[in-house]
Amino acid sequence: MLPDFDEELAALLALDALEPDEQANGELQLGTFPAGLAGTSAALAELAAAEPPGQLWQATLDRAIGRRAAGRPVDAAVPSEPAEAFARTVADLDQLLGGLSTTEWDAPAHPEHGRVRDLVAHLIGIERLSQRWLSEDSVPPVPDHIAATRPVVDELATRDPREVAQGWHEAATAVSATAAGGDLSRTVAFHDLAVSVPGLLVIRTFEIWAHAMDIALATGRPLPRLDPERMALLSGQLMAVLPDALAYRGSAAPGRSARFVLTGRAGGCYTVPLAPAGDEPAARTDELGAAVEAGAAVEPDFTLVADPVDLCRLAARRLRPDQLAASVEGDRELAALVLADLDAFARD
Amino acid sequence: MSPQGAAPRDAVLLARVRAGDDRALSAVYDEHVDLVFGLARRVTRDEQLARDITQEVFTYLWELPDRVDLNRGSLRAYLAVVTHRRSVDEIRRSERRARTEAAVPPAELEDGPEVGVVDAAARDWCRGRLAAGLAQLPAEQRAAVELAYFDGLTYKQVARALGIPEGTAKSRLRLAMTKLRSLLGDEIRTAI
Repeated sequence: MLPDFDEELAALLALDALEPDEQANGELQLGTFPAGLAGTSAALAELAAAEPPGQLWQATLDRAIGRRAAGRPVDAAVPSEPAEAFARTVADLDQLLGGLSTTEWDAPAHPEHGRVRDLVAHLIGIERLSQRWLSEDSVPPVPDHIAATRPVVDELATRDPREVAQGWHEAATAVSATAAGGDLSRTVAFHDLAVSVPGLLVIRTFEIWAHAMDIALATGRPLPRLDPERMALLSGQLMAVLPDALAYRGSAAPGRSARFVLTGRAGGCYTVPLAPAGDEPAARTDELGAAVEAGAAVEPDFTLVADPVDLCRLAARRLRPDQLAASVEGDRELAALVLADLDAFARD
Repeated sequence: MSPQGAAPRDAVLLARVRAGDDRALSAVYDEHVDLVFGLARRVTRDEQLARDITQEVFTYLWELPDRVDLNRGSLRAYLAVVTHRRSVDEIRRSERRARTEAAVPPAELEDGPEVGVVDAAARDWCRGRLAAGLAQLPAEQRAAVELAYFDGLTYKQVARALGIPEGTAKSRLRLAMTKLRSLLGDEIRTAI
């Protein structure tokens, strides 16, 4: 129970009944929103509720959008460039590996790759393949991501872990240099896919982040978190390729669309068609061919609200759809199907 | 909407507004514009000013959604507080006081809301309890609260309007709010 003086001040503040020259002092003492009594005064407001003029919404929306554009979060992060995101994620993993003990290098980290050291050897294999994809015109398709690096893993199985770490870092740095050296708009192979150079770097950023999570979990460390700039890149690209991912899995749904509301600085609003541009009946696509729109007028089949980090973990197969903390409105069955195929391009 | 059902929905809507989802703003508007517009019109007694305040309140939420702290109350309660403060600021700033401080008829409140539009059943129930709660206040306390809240008077203006000392006006307002809080109970305050 507050003293009478404070109760009185709270009552006057809640009713906005202080004199103007007393207001600041009152707010300083009790805050602008005195919890208990503000609820009581807000309850009084119910007695004044009235139907608004019909045209008021449009004027309100126009004013609001004029002050802050739709589609982007408050304090939105500027997405990293793919090359920068790749390089920074390589640096993060390098730092993580540098802190591992000999015992930790032998900790089981992945159901298919095995120990931490095997996982890093696998990454060396993937960096070597990436070098070839970036620099050679005709690399045979490599559909099996794990089998493709088995020889490298076997070769390095008994090597000093520091050597393995150094070998991976050198290979990854070489990938960065090769990617930066050529025409960024060229199409290159990535396993059985054809992607742009920035696209390859984004997929590789996803993979290195995912394996950094594996290593952190295996060694009892906190999960690595990407900064909002990198996360904005990954989540934006995830939205951009979603129609193609669904087509890749054979689950495209022409004529249907979903609205993803991704929260936090790395988030934003995306209305995404659930089929590639060529399959869509109407032109609702951007230059990426992926129809990612902010504030699109089309009524989506479902709206999903989620944290972009969680959505990216789902796409990287580090979270199952049933583990995703998301709010879904609309066609939940379709949403479940889409979430199940979000990882179509994950290679780990 | 059930009385306890607002919190999770508010949190999701607020997260969507933060993310820049104009559809979420539309949903917030649809759900609460009756309160914002009605309160602004009631306090300012000016239809055009009420429209302007309504636009400003929702635009403020859109621009600065992080100002809302759902631990301290519902989104509807927050909007009510912001609307009331802006309405009071407007009438004080523009000295739009055609009405006299002493002659504000409080009887209108007994008839309840003017036109309810959203969640009619739940809100009608709330309003019924509110009207009953107000009716249970001693007449002098009720008059003081109505002058302060619905007419936007300061406690000094309330004192002048009722012809009582300023200390008495403050005391009546405190007693009235304490009693109202007790009469309304937790159930109704969480419904708002």
